[in-house]
Amino acid sequence: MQGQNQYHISTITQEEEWEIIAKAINDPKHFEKLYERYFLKIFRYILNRIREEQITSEITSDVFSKAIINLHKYRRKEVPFVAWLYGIARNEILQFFRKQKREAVVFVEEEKLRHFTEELDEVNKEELFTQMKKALEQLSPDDVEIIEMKYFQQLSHKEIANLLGVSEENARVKTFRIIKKLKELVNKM
Amino acid sequence: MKTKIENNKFELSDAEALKHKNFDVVIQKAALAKSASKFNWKWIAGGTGVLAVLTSTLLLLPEEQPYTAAPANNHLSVKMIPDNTEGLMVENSSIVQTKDGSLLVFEENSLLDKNGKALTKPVALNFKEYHNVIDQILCKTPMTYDSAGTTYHFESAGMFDLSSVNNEIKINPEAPIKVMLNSKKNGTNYNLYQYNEDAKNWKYLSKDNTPSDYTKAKALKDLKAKEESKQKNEEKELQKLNIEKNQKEQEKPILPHEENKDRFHIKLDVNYKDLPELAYFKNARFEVLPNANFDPQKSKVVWDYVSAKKDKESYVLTFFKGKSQYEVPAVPVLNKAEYTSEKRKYEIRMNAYKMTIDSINEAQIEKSKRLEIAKKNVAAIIHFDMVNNPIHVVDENITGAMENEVLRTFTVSNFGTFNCDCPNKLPKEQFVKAEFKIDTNKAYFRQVYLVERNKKMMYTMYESTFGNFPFNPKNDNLIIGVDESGLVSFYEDFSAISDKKDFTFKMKPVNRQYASAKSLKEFFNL
Repeated sequence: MQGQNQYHISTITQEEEWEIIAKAINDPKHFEKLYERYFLKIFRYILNRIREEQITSEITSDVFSKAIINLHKYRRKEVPFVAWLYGIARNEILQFFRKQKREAVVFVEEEKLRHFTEELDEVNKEELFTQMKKALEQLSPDDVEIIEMKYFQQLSHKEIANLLGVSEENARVKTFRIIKKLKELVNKM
Repeated sequence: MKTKIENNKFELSDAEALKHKNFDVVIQKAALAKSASKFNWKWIAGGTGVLAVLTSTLLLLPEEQPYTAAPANNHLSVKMIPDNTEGLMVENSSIVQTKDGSLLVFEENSLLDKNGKALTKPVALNFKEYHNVIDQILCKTPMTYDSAGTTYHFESAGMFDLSSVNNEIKINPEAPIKVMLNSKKNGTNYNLYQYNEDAKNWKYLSKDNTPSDYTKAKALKDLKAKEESKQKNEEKELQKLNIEKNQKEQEKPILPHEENKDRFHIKLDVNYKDLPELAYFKNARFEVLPNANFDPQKSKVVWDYVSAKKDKESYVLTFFKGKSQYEVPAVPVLNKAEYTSEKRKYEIRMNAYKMTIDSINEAQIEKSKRLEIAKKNVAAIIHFDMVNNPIHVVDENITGAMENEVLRTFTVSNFGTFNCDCPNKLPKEQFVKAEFKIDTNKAYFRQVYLVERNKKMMYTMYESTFGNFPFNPKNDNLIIGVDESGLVSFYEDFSAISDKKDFTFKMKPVNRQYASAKSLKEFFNL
């Protein structure tokens, strides 16, 4: 699992971030601070789904350019700014798959899954890993996407909620149910 | 969507990922998308760097070249021209200068929040100025005015849009914003109008009362004098408060101690003008401090007079007789019964004192803020003068260079589009049945503008006038046409019309290399 400290997020407060957004609405050069702040997060999120560096680079710049254009529509009370960016990124990814007439894929790297299962059960990690792998394949891709976002990308429920277009509470309940389902599948094996 | 669990680890270091970071590309993409989707480009004029990226990327142009009729795929559309709306961060009690050299003056409560309270933080406003025929053509607002069934065409002495990024912000009608528009036209025959977005027409506000001799130089001097007067007033007020505070501090209530019967006491006939804090304690006596090394024999001396001076929490009593003097440190004291009774009264007096000092402190903070604002505003006017005026007028008795420039003042109590205009009728010197073509094809225009370049005047021509297209052959005429898709064409050789009754205006497409208001103005020499 990748550590959270991989992201070079500058230390600005939410209030300062909001001030930057307000300025960037009128003058996009102010947006650069936000770009600097969230580039890696968004890039990695896209890379994880697309798994092709150059395309990821293109889609990432599309995400930020759309954010600039639609910045006036952003409402901070509704969702944190980063979650709003994730929402744009997810749409861009789906659009990319649609344009390519490719089926959208949720990737789960074996190593990440292995790390995840090790944390759950150190002793029976090999067995659990095999079971978890099979169980994940039995879940719907939508469910796997949520697991992937929550446990492998370590997004917050609020961020997931915005990506899926649901409420934060709904995202929390969905995650809980999927985990429950995953446990049941593993226990049956 | 399907699930894939992969063996292959896809790893990219931060350094490798960061190689893909390129903010210029993001801006270029945004600029292209914005240009393709929306004519009203509100923010791109924010920085010249951004604009430079936009022009080089959007137009994909070779180096500057002389104009030739643009091939179809190189035809300028108004949609390509970035909007030059300016984003301003403004706050109450400030004077803000726009990039086109106008001033916005905000009173202390000009901008209100949704609850009607004066804003205390800066907010973003959009401001756009129109000074030129090209600005007016690019503007979506019609430049005609109907009065009593007659259509008049605006000869503008300046126009602007003022809007708020945040819809909840309002302008206080009791303290409107003063917009001093940097008008390029002198003269007194102008009226002020506001555009009514709902009715889609202009509403007459008033005659523009800017006197013809009220030049930019005079307006600036007046504004500076007003702000300097505010500054002086605030300085006076602050000085008064300082004096008042000093006086009050002299009267800070004290509570005499309860007497210690074992110590030496002195009863004095106090002048309460000198020691007002003792006025409440007529029975107070001075008790000599224990460490005073007091000589009791001195009490038998008949002294000429005694002075008392406060020294922190105690007093220094100085006894005089002829040339000799004797100092005794002492504190005022009361007997037990008096002390108990006075203590409560002292607490009340102390509370009142604290409240008075607090209110003076608050007033001082408030006055200091106002003083800073007034100073800042004076500095803003001087800065404006330094930046905009070839001869710096505000501190000099020189007006010559500024005689033809006017700051036209609008009192703005709501957001919208305002105009300072002189309504004109269409020319009637000559008429021609007009047809418009591009190459050999009939051209269909959304709008045709007849421009009198020598007068910097523009008429909006509708299809209904094409059969009897009016113009004045003595003027330097130009026709600019904009078709449904925004493509811009022009015609300027009016001498070819001569005395013909029918005429085909062979419109030339404008090359897309002129995709900015500035370059288009230069191209048309407007």
